[in-house]
Amino acid sequence: MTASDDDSELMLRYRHGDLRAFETLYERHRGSLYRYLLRQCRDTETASDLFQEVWGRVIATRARYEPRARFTTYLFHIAHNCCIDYFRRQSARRAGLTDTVEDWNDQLVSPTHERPDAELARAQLEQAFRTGLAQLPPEQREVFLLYEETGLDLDEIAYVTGVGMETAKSRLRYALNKLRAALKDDPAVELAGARGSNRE
Amino acid sequence: MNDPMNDAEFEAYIARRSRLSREYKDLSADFPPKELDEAVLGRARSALALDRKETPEREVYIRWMAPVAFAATVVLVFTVVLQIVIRPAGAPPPLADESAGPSSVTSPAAATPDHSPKLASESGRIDKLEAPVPAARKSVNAAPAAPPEPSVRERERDEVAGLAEKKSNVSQTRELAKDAAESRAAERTVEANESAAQVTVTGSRQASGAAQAASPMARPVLEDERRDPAVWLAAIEKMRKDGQAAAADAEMKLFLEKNPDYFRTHPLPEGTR
Repeated sequence: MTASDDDSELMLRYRHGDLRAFETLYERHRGSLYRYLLRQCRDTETASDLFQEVWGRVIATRARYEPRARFTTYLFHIAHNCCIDYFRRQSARRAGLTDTVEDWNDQLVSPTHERPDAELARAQLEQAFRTGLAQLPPEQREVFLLYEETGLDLDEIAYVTGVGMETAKSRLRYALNKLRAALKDDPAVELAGARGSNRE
Repeated sequence: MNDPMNDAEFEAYIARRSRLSREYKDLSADFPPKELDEAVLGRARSALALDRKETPEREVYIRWMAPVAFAATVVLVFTVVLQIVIRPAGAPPPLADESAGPSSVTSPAAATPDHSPKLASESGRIDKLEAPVPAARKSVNAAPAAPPEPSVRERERDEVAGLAEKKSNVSQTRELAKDAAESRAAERTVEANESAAQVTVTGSRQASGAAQAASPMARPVLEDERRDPAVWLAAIEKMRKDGQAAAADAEMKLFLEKNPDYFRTHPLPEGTR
């Protein structure tokens, strides 16, 4: 039994009253979902609200759950809809594009004077990565986050985001190019897998 | 200008062999805070608790519905069976038996409970403790469709006598016959007294009937004899000679009412008062 099948099984068990199954399911997906939401809306409070809203919908619709697709697809489809609702409530520009990179850095990176010197370079790399991610258009950032956080393939990402597979693939390609450009001067990051493998 | 990602690099990324992916994973270990975990898990727990709270009421209803329905059916069937089985032995007979009328009246068990205990015990009727005549009257009363003819009672007694005669014990037979005859005589005496009482109230016709009832051998005064006062008086005299003094007095009273001036114009015959 694969992990995804196991997820569906856990959800069905929770539907029949097994709280332990839900706890297992929650433990598996809590980090990826939270990061997806946090990096999409770039606000911890909003991310927390959306996080609760997504799991609340999962809980409320447990009686109607049917394992037609992977549970991850089901979960992030709900998350995507919650984000869309959030962006609609907010102004699209304010939610997606107008936040500055400094806002991200203030939230996610600790002051450098609190870190040991050995981690300084790594902190700089993280900051560069976050900066590049924050500069991505929301739809490209979403495809990248879904790809990295959930392990879904392009077909499933296309389903979650409600677009065709080629559109999802194109968005992902654009996102990678922009991230590569943002991290170009950083020797610690290489986009190409072959080169990364060689260096390892 | 940036170099666009070539197909090989992109395929390597899709195959998750990219260092970028590993760097992203190491970017930060952002996880939801504990409070958020507790909120979500508490929500899941309360949802299940709500399910369990609603479920017992339905489960209790579903669990007990079938046994209660079965028990109710059993009780109903048991009650109906009891009504059918026990009622003929202890309860009054059904309407069909009542409509039988005289046939049920003349049943040996009901008519002679004291004299034929075997039959009475076979029938199982509670009538067996009652006296013969009241039992017969009760049976007649219990059958309103049957006409209350005197002959019915007489037939009963005849049948009682007949049944008694069939018994092998001769002395018992004689006693039964004697009892029946006495009962019959007593019945007729009562009827005669009732008739006599009616005669004193209603007039001469009933009075002459009463005189007849008192003496079965007496001859009533005929209507033709009353047309002629002399003949009427002779008939009265004859009644008096026959020992029917009361009837003769009643007839004389009637004669005086019809002929108030007769004795003014006609002298009394000798011996007539």
